[in-house]
Amino acid sequence: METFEKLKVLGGAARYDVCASSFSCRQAPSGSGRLGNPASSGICHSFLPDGRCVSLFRVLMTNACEQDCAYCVNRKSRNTPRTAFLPEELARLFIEFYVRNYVEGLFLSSGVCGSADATMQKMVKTVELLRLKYGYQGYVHLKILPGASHSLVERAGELADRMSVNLEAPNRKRLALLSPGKEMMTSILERMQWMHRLSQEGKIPSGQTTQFVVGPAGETDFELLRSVTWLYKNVGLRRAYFSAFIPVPQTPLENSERTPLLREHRLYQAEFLLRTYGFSLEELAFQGTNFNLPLDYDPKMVFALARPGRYPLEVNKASREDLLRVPGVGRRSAARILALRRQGRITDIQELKNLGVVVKRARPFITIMGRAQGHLETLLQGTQLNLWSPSRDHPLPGGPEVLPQGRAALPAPPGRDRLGERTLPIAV
Amino acid sequence: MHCKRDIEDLMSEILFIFRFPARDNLSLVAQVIGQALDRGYAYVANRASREAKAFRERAHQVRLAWHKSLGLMRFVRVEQNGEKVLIGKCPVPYRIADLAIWHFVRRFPEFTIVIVAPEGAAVVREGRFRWESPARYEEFLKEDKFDAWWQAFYKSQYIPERRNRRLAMKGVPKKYWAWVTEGQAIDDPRAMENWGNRDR
Repeated sequence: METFEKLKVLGGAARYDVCASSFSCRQAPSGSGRLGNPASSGICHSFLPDGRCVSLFRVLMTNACEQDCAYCVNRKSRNTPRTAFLPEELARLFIEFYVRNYVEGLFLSSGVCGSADATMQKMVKTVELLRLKYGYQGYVHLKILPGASHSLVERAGELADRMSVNLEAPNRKRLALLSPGKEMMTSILERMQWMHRLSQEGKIPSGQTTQFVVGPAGETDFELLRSVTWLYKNVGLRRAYFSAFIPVPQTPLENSERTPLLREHRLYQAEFLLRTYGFSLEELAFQGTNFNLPLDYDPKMVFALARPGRYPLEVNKASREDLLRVPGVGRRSAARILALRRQGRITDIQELKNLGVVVKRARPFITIMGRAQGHLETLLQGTQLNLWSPSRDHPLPGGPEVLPQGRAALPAPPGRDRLGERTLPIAV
Repeated sequence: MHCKRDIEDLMSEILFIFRFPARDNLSLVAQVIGQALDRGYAYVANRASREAKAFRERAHQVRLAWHKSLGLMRFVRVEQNGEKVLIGKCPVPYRIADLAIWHFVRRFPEFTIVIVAPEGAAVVREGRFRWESPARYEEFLKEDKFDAWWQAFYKSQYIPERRNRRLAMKGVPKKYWAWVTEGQAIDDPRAMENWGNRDR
């Protein structure tokens, strides 16, 4: 098969891998013969019509696989064209993409062809070529195949910025339903422990991640998030990714139902609260019957609605932890509120809006200088209507020419509409 | 009381503001400096007034376009008289070519980098920056044969069952579509129908 055809097949075979992060804190050495460097903040090079970022050259080494995972597009018993890159061929192709700035780095995964070690050797060889022959200093995310030997994992750790092994399911029982050939403890978790040790030794600067398939084994959101918290604590997981299950033809699950993308979205929101907002798993609410996150409202809103006694909070007095538990207040806006409070007091809702707070969501849960700002009923009734709320960008009548549209435009004074006519203030 | 860091931060924002295409930049800057002197820099830095918000937002827009350009800039690779050159275009109206170019100079130290922008061609050759006429570089940008490879890869990554136009447009707003070859596909994936069918 020609390289062009391989690119189509092996690029398509890798599309269900989600991780698109290209951040690395590694300092690339300077000097002649060097090519590329990792970025300290992620750079997206494009977006797909499905909304996912394209930042990495995401391909498989081969889509031939000895595993027969029930959900997988590359499973052994599927009738699909199989091919493989040669290490030199892949390294050269990647460099062509990289130099033209189409991608930020390499994401290399693979099916298991022959044995895990034989395939891993080819993957490691590819990255060695990039690092040593081409002088490539940019970002590399290398997948570790379940069952790969310690020496190969260690070598991969010396070459890659980030490594990952996909857990796919939250526990042994669920994994057995999806991938009968994989054993969670010996083939996956043990490799995660090795990567954790490498990370502690200062290798793999962007740490390790993992990915779960959401839905096909009947796993609950609670099970998934419990596994994620365990992994944060015990193997130093940097981030967990979720992929809503999409049935693939010629697999045992081809007639199963698709997992709603909203469920995946809620899982990401909850994972974010656990990882960066300081929430604990006990603070999240799950539906009583199926232990999934409610789909109607985001996890932070559900948290707030379940604790009416805790609110409203006075924004001029609330601690950072409390502010972070107010719907509509993010980490950045909480930091801005605290910074502004050191200079004086917050006196009205417009100030909060300017600080980046989503005031429509925050109003029922806060007071400013003791004054309540809104009612919960209004918020819950208006959820759908917000999608069609009018633009707040206006020209200033009689003033200098300003941009009439866009976020950078000066907003009109309260009570004036786009044409400068008086209107009634929006009642809340 | 204003510390040196606050003043430096304000100055940096002002430099970004003047790269933003609006006629009222000067009056906005004057108002914001007045507020910073009256109420302290934190008042402006945290966007408490609507002028401060617009001020920070404009600087943010320029910085955002700068950051986006690092990803959306695509280079054509040219070799002339032993000189290796990467030529890209930057059609946004924010005058950021001279900022963005240094990212690529660090990344590709063995190449001469050229960015063709509405204000001219920014060039860094052997570490030295200069503006040149864009005319001599524009012909290289007319057709890039590597586009077919990119289109094949881009198409292979798309999962039709996950189509989400709003999310895609958030990532690449309409004003950037003309910049990239896949711009039309973001709006309508049918534009990808023939991508990857020819091996060039």
